[in-house]
Formats: sequence, structure tokens, C-alpha cells
Amino acid sequence: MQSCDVLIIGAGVIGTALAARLSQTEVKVCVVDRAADVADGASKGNAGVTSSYYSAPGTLEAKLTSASVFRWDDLCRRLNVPFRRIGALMPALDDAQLQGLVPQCEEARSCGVGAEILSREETLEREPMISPNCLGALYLPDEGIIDPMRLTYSFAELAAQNGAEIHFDNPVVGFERSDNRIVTAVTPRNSFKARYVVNCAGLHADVISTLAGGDEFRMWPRKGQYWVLDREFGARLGHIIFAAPSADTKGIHVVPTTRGSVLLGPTAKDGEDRDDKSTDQEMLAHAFAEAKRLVPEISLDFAIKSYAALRPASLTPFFVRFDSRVPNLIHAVSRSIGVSTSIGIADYVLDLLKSGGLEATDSGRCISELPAMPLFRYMSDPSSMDQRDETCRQIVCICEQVTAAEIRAALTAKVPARSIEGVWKRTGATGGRCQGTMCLMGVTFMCATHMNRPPEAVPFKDGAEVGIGRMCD
Amino acid sequence: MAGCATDEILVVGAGISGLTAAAEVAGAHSTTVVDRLPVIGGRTLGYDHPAALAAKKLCDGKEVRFLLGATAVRWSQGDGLLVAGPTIGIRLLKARYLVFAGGLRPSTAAELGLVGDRMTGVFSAPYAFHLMASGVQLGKHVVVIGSGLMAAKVARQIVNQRGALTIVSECEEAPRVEFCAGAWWGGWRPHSVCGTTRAAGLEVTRAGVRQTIDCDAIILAEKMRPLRNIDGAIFDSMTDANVLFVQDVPEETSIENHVRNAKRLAQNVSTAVGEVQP
Repeated sequence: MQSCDVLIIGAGVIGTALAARLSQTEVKVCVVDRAADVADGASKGNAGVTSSYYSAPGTLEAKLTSASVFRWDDLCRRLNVPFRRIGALMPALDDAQLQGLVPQCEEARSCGVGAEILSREETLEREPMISPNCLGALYLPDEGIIDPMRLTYSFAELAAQNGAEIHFDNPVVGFERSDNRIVTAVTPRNSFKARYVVNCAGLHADVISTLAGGDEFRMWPRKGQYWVLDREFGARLGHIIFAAPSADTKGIHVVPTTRGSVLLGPTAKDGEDRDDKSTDQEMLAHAFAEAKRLVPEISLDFAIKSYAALRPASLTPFFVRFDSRVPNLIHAVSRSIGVSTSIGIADYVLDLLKSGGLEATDSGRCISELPAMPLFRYMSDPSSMDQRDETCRQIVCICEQVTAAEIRAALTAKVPARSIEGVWKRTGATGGRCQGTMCLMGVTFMCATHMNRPPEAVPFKDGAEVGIGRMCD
Repeated sequence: MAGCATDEILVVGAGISGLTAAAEVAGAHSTTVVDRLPVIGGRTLGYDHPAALAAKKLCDGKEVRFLLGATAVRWSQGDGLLVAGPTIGIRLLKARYLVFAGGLRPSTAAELGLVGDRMTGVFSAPYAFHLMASGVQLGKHVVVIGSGLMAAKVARQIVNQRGALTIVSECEEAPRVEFCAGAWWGGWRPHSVCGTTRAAGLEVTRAGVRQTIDCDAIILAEKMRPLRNIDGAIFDSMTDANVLFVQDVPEETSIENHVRNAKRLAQNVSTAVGEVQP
């Protein structure tokens, strides 16, 4: 039996952001997740955009986006998270779209962020990769790109270094209650006595609420499929390119990543299966065709990977509040803008907890930054880095320029990589243009060494091991 | 020290193609060969193959310098080549020309147009080869996609491990003896990977017909293409004129052909360098 003040269910970007925030107070925090690592749901498969504005001011999501938008530079510096405020352009490809940009520009400005309507010439001058068919564009200079998996990991790492406990492979299967209040959350391996429970379970938030006897709401998976294009092509693109939204969807975007590659997507298709992350040719073709309308030079010759991710959909897309039936349960549910609101949600939930009676004075003993870690890929002159440790000089993944030192750091962290995918989430290794063809062996052997296991028993992802056994000859 | 002076030509890759190209251009131009491994020979031949040793001897005769154990990472025409290695450190090598002889690799799932979830049990052939060589059993029933040398190499290992083997290839007829030990699906095209956490089947198509081959591991060994991994030297269409690729050899070719091709391509280098410094 574990005991804590606040139990966070879900180690995605919202749960870990909250854990990081609470870890800087005297509150005792535990995080549980059904998966084997951080960022296993929507926090893994999103486009990595820190939005500057998302909807009209007045809504909670607008408020919490605004509360986060100008804090990324400082946070990412403290937590070694790749982030660049590159700005976004939303080109209009017809008159209706051009008309639609005006109210969006107003909305963005009223949220306190930069927004400007550019003429066709100004648009093409700013971003020559945009289709010459554009009639103008909305320019949002405060939009940024971030490595969402490294962000989630770093939130968790900070929390753990400050004493928060993170328990993976612990799906909550039930609650013990007294007078409607949750007393204990039960997983197959453990039970967690908690004064407050925060439901950050993303796509599974409805299941958690139902198990707790809380509010009834329904979540379902919205599948988004993406293409990833090579960095060599990405180097020519200077901005996020958003599609002008239509009535039913936000559209297919062209998004540079912090590693330099470019994402095309996401498609949007609602389904029922919460584990189905398969891609299909029809949707991928759609994503490609739509992206090519925005940026005509896009070609699948540059494609290095396609993937699908599930984001949570629900009738109420965004709510952070106490449950109406269970007085010590808070829901933090966000559709599409979990990353962009994560800093704001963490502060907001802390305020809710305080209003609910939790004493949460800031701790004097906590850290607020992680030790600086030079990342080879992001250095303009890596030859200037401290080279005393020879693993800094050993490139394991050539495509993504990841050193043995970076992989070792991932494997020996307080919240360590426990699979090859875990190494990828923290470092980018194996995710480049050859998709691990050349480096997976090295990564597997490094995992095997650090985990003290034979290579066949190294988990690849989802706990499934690389091999089925060993040949004895 | 090798590589410190500004070379006219840097050759990346000390396999048969890189060595041959270096020997070909070195007489007229100062040349350094860089390789990730601490030995020459590359993946095709290995360090002790007579052809590799002969090519190395030619290089030595023409005062080619060697910087082995150095991973080439970034190229830019103005700055040169960024390399890193445990012994040589992280350094920028100045050079006017980059000759890249990085060999071939099989196509990735995306390049093959393979859809489905991304899951455990789908291996690129070089990764599968090394795993099996170190005794790892990848599956009880392994599907190999491909029909060339690389496919044959992994097929042999699977049979040695007494695993059930299936080969899927766009070729109609099995071209190699290694494939006789397995079920041959000639003319079928891989379409998608099925399964939940681990691969459980490969869906294949042929003339509008779809079938699923049950399996617990899939090895990608089809459509070999140039391995490119140096920023600034990835796509022919986007690379500056001072980069030359010596990688257009098909997978199945004799050593003589490798040498002939490398010599022919190296002449392009000589011509190009000659334009700058007649």
C-alpha cells in the first residue's frame, strides 16, 4: 500500500506537468500509468506544436493556453527540451478561407498574442514554400514547436528527482470509497491511498471516472495519421503551415519538428478501438494530397515514416474541474491541446486542490531545472562541446545524430528508458531516415547492458521483447 | 595529423567502392578516406578480403590518408565535414569535395508502402542479421520480404535456427538456392502488418487478391537503396555540386563490377575537381 496526498492517474503530458508542479511543493505525489513509460497515448503521437491561441477568449482552454504560451522558452531551457518559436502561417487558398482569416486574427489578438493578416506577396516572401495559389495568410508569430515526448519525459524526470513516485504498468482497475470520497485506487500490483485523485488519463479518462463512481462522460479515439518527411527537406521550411479550418475539422497541417523533420497531418477519423493505431493507404494518401495543396514541393520521395496516433475526443472537448459526485476527484481532460495547455493546467489544478483544502506550500528543497545536457543534434558546433567523456564522441544513431552519452543518460535517468521505444522517446535515436537499420543493434546492446538482460529480452515497445528466445548450438 | 590539412577530396566509406574511388582520384588530388569502423573493407567484403586489401595497397601507393573510426555526420560546402569518433574526437574536416560511398540498405516500411501499426517483430534486414548472428531467435515463423543477397543471408540464418521461413517477393521465380527451404510467395506484394503488440501476420496482395501469411517476425530485405545519412548529402536533387555519390551499384554484382563502377564514378570526381583546379 502506497500513501500520498495527490494521486495522478496518467503519465502523459498533463499528468507529468502536474506532477512536476506539485513536486515543487510539500505535497506527496504519486503518478500511476497503465503503460510501461511516459507519453504512451496522445502525448506521443501529436504534432508537437505549442499553440499561441486555440479558441475565442473566455473559454478555459483559451485561458490556459494563454497561461502557457510565453513560458515555454524558460521552461524548455530549464528542462533541456528542444523548443523553437518559429511562428505559424495559415494560408487561404480561396476567397471563403480568406474571409475566415479575419475573425481568427481578431480572436488571436484578443487572446493577447501576435496575429497579422499578410497579403499574398508578404506571405510568399515570408515563406516561399507556400503554394503560389494562396491569396494571403494569417501569421501567428508566437506559435512554437516542441519535442512533446522529451517534454513529457522531462516533466516526469523533474518530478521524480523532487521525490514524486511514478509507477508504470499500474492500470487503475478500481477504487475503494467512503462517503463518495475516493480512499484508495487499486491496480493489479498495488494500491494507492490518496487524499485527492487527479484524472489525467486522456483517452481513458471516462473509464477512470466511471470506476470512481464519478461523472458520466464518454471519450472515444480519434485516429490521426501522419507522414514524416526528411530533415533535408525540412531545412527549407521556416514556419508551421496550418490549413485554414473548415466547419468539421482543423485540417491537415505541415509542421516542422524540433529535430528538423516535417510532419504532414493529422487526418481525423473517429473509431471505437482504443488500441488501433494502424495506418491505411487511403488516409495517408489524403494527408499527402492535402499537405501538397499548402506546400507544392512536398513529395513522398522525402518520406521516412508514416504512423497513426489516437487523440481523445469527447462531447465536451476540454474540462478541468472537480467531479460533481466524488468530492476529492479532479478531471483534467483536453482534446488536441494537451501540450499547449500543460503548464497552465498544472497551475490551475494546484489552485483547485488548494481551494479544496489541500495545504500546498512551496518546498524550499526542490529543484526547478535538470542538469544541462548537450545534445549533439542541436549544437551548431558540436566540436566545441566538452569531449572528455568518450561516449560524447561516439555517434550511435547517425541519422538523428545521437551519441552514446545521450542514450546512456536515457537509460540511467530517474525515469529511465525501459525499452528501445523509451530510448527513442527521450533521444530520437532509431527514428531517423533509415528507421534504425544501422543503429538498432547498438541501441539494443546498450539497452541489454544497462538492463542486465540478453538482447532478445530487451523490450522493443509495449513490453514486447525483441526476440522470442536464444538459439543454443 | 591525417585529415587536418585541407584536403581536396574526402571519401566517406572504406569499402570496396570508397577505396577504389580514392585510389582513382588520389594521384592528382590530396585525398583522405573516412570510415565509421576502425578497419577498412566495409560491409560487403570485410576487413580481410583480398580485394579490399588490394584496393588499400593501391591507396597507400598514392599517399591516400586514412581516418578510421570516424563517423561522418554533417556536410556543408563552406565548412567541410563534421566527424566524430571515440579516438579522433569531434572535428570539422576541411575539404573541397565529398565523395560518399556508404553502400546500400534495404527499404524501410514507409519506403515499401507497408501500412499497419508499428510494432515489435518487424526488423530491417541488417538489424535482423546481427541479432540472429548473436544467437537471438526472432520468431518461430519468419517472413522475409525480398529476394536479393540480403534476403538470402537472413533466410540462411532462419533455416539454421530451424525457424519456418516464408519469402515474399515481387519476383515470380525464386532466384536463389536459400529460398528452397521456405515457402515462396513470388509475385505477391506486401501490403500491411497485422497484430497487436507483436507482428502476427503479413497481408499480401496479388492481382487484387489479398491473403494473410501468419508469422511472428517480418524481415525487410527488399529494394536495396543507397544508404544516406550525412546531413547535406541526402537527396541527389538537393545536394550541392561538390558532393558525389559512389553508390549506384546494384545489390547483386561481382567485386569486379564494384571496382569498375567506382572507377567510372571517380572519373566524374576528377573531372569536377579538374574544373576548379585545372
